Amino acid sequence: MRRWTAGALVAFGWACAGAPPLPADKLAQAEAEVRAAQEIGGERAPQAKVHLQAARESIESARETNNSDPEAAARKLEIARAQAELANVLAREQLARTEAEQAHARLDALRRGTPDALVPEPTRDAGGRAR
Amino acid sequence: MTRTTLVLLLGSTLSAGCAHLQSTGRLDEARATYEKAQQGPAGASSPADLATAKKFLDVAEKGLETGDPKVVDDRATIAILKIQAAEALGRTHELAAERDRTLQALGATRQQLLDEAQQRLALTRVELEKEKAARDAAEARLAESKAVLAREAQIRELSEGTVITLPGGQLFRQGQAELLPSGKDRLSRVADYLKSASRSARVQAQPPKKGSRKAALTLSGKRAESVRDFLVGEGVTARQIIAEPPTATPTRTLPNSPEFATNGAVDIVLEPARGGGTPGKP
Repeated sequence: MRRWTAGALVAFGWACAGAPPLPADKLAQAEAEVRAAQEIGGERAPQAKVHLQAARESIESARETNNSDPEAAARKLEIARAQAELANVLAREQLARTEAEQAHARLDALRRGTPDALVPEPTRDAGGRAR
Repeated sequence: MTRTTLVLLLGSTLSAGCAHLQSTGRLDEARATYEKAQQGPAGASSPADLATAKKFLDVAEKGLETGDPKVVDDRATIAILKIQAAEALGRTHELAAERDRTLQALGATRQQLLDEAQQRLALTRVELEKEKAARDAAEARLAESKAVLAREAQIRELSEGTVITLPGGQLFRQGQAELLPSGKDRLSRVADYLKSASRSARVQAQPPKKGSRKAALTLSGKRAESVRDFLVGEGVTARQIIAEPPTATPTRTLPNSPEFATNGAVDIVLEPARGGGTPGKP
């Protein structure tokens, strides 16, 4: 009888404590990737924006799922991280596309004889960003 | 229930428990995405990223062993996202390479245009220097010619232009309009000066103060024609020079000497330098 009582108390304690928190490292990684994608301009590139929003929703969904299925919640955080990484890469692709188009436009203008095209383009830093 | 039936039931239960998941729709999608990515820019431009994505696909494949389709689907979703990221990176690398090639072409074209402009500028400078040298030489010739002329004629800068005055006695016998040989020599130097100056000119003979006024005016007109014709014969263009009849009232004063009083003078008036048109026609 005492054993049964102790077992019931332990089970009650678990229930009161609730589910374990979201894995801190996975959550931090996902949120860091979302921030990085935002900083590089993920909101301005349509495709990147879609994945950025999906990453935010996955993090939210992980929080909601954590109570019932912590393992699934952890996987959702991994998905969120991958979505944010993709948003980041898509934003950079958009940036590269814009730069390539601008370079083409400058070359065309130069060949057409537009004087502005004689002005040298801005120098770039190590990350390829115009200064 | 027979023993055989029991064995069969037990066997089928065991086999059902051991049969693991073969695939899921999401995993199939991930496999297809990877196959496609290998043929695209990622295969050539970002193979390392694609290899990383493959590892995630392998993890999804390994998820089949759990028998849980949710685990497989989630891992397959991550693999698909990684593959898409590798593809995007491949495209980004290609775009960056294209941008660099274009910027290189831009730099080369710009340099070529600048070189051409500099060459044109250098040629223009040479032309300008040649023109300046020619102008300097012409001005030097003009100055020299004027200096030579100044030794035997009076040269004055008046508002109407440069006035070269030759005494009538140096060019003509008294009362005549035919040029003396010595007069022709002098007029040859006037012709040289006119050709150097390249300015329109008019010839006007001033009548002598002595003698019949009417006869003097007639003689002066003839002398002006005679001088003009000689100068044209010496190479001064006919358009550049005209002969004008003398005015009843002299427009400019003659030097106060007996020579001018008895034999008059010939004025050759060069229009101011900025004119350059046909005399009498601005």
